[in-house]
Amino acid sequence: MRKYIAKRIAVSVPIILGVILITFVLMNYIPGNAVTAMMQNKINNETVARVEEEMHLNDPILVRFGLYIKDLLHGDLGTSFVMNQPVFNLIKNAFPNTIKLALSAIAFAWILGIPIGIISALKKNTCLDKLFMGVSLMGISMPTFSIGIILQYLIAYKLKWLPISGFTTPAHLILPSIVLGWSMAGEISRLIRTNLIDVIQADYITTAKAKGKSRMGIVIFHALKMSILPVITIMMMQFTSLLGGALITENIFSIPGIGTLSISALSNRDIPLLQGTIILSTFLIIIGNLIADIIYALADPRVHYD
Amino acid sequence: MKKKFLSLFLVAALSVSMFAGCGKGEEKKEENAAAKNETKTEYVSKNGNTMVLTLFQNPKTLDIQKTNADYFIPLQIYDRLVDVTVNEAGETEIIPSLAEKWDISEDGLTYTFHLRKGVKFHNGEELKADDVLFTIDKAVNPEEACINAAQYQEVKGYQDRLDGKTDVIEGVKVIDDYTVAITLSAPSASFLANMTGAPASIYNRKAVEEGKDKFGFDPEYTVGTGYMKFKDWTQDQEINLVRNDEYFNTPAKIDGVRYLMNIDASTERMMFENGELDYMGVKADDLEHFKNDEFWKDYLIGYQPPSMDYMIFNQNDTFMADVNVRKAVQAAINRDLINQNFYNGEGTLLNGVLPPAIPGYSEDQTPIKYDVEEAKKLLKEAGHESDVTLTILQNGESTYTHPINEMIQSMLGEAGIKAEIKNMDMTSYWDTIASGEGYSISLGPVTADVPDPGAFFTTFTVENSASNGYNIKDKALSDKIKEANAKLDPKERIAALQALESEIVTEQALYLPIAAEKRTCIISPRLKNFQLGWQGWVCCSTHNVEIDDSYNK
Repeated sequence: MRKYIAKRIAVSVPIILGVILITFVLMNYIPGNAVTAMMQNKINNETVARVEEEMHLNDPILVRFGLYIKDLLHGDLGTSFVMNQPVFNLIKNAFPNTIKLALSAIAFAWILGIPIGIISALKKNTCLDKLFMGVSLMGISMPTFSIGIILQYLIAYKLKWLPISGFTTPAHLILPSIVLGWSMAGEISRLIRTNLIDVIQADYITTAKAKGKSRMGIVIFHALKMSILPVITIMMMQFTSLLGGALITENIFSIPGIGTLSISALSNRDIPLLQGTIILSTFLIIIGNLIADIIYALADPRVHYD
Repeated sequence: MKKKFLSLFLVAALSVSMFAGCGKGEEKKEENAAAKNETKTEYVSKNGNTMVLTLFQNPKTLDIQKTNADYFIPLQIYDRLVDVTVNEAGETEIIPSLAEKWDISEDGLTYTFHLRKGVKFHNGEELKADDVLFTIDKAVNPEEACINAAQYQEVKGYQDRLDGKTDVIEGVKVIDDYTVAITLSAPSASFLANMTGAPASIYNRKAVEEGKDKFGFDPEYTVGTGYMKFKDWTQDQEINLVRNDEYFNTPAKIDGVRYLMNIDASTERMMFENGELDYMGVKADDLEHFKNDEFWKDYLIGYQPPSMDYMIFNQNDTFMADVNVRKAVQAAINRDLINQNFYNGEGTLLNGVLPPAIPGYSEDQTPIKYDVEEAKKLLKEAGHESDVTLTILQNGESTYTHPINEMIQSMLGEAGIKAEIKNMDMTSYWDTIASGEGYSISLGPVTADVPDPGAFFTTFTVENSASNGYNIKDKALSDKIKEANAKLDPKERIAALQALESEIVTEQALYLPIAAEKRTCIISPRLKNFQLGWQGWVCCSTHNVEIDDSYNK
């Protein structure tokens, strides 16, 4: 197991380096840089050339990449081109907001998705099942921006139950969490339902039934444990992708998280800041997958990593 | 069975979205019938004595020498040597601000500013002549890499300091604590007007030097003399300003201003109507809604800002290099129709170089006529009867220009000009404009930020047009513009500039002015004495505005 973890971590280093290099090359080819982003309609070629020089933006790409990697190995993510502050600080300010949003969205998805999946499986093909599956299908198939804008309009603007946008009180978290959590809850509940229906028909469940165990007992202690296993990977992946920033939802509800930060980094051609957010989300996805695999092994004695 | 439920859900989903679309009209009728007057008292705000506004972009830094993303906050927290006011005749006028008065030497080269005494920065330091020297020198200090250094390009020694040849800018001399002399490299009629612009804000030497990299972000060091103080900045969320009680002029009446960032356009309207925002620019699409609303229609304010929508003709493009093709494009575009469709028919069609409210603006210009047949004839003369293909460059972040460009595309089509629209994000857009390659024409807005006609004309000089997208080759006209702009007597200068307008617009067809849009904004009922700045900017209203407490909860 330890060997496996060490191996996975070792493999992640070239992945992160590869992602950094790809970002660097791509950023080099899109038009504009940090200076044009700041000058906007007052753009002037002389000034651009001068400030580019002063900011060392014209150095060869390999030189810039080398310097960046050198700093990175010293644990320095660099300084934002346009905001003139350490990238680490900017990410440190935005990340807690993203974590808050991700946690509450995931809580919403799990609290709703898991029981709905179980009930739908047990009440297979009843009206309740159809209703639940319909709602979850809506969550999966409707794009986040449309759910977001519809909920924002109905619940916040018309009914005034919740704030329209912003991120200052816990109430501000509710709508975006529903928007993000709905589709995840949909995925989770549908997966659990399918798996649970399969598992309930397995021989060992019939054995348990024959032993006279209660129906709830069988579902919770025997069937659920087996049927939730494949869902764990999905749930971890959902969580880590949320930690990388939820661009659209953050935009609709004006949430100052990693998504907002990386979008502004991209539009400002702020390479160090963009790299910082990309390193963070790559790292999170790698770690998230690793944790999912470990949980998988712990929960299912049939899985070994040797 | 399955299908039945699916269709049920589809119906449910559809009806939800239908309610979202149609609900408003019905409810409004009910409200109107039931309680016309009650709605008035229903408006409540939780914002207290603080004005809440949105920012179009993240300012990135409050060091205004380093960004053009936002001028609004710098205009409030800093002051300039001189300021702008609009007199009774509706003309802009330059008035004292940090400089109580100024003398101009006979040769027009040296401006001696006498500073107001006892003006305090927000950190308690008194404004001294050295702060003026420091501010100007900081802008042109090559180590600072300021993008707005050109604000001081007329000052003597500007280029040498930028090139690192001198340690301090030559043209600024401290005479005593309250007197500073600024020498120009050549006489200029626009220097004073330029000193009213946001990038000419005056900083405090001590605060900037102590703050170093924190200046522009940290309220402790980001201090000016303005009527608002910078209080805090929550990253990507909000920026708060509070009233400066020790302002040298009358202090502001409100407690402060909260600027919200990253507010989406549709969200903005919902927030405004729910009492969360105090001001909103009204887009053409929303105007009818507010005009027909019994409650809101009283809070609409129409104004004419010194801005215009215009079309750049890029002469690096082989077709646009031909004056006949340029004239054909002018003749092919039906500006009246654009006005009817996009400016509610209220825009002023322009035929000159200046937008309204800028000194020298005149309505007596040779009109640019819409005439498709003339356009076809001109194309034939140019030998390009049917082979002209143009690229319209579209700034992705400027959503309102996209439908206008689509209309222009089809108008050009009628004259036999094929046009494709190339859409790109804002930074790519400006980079492409500056590169001068990959586009033929582009539509955009421009708003004057200093009350001077010069910049509108010098746009068309060979030198400047290499960056702003025109890429003009006519050296003779370029020299005439420079010569006219250099005249010192304001009246003579304006007359000389005006004399060039028809050559620029109609004879040479260097660009196509479209219209000056009459804009509309809407304010919350709780604002009293609300007055937009001369540029039509809301930031300048925060000094005198008052908040009616009876709407506050």
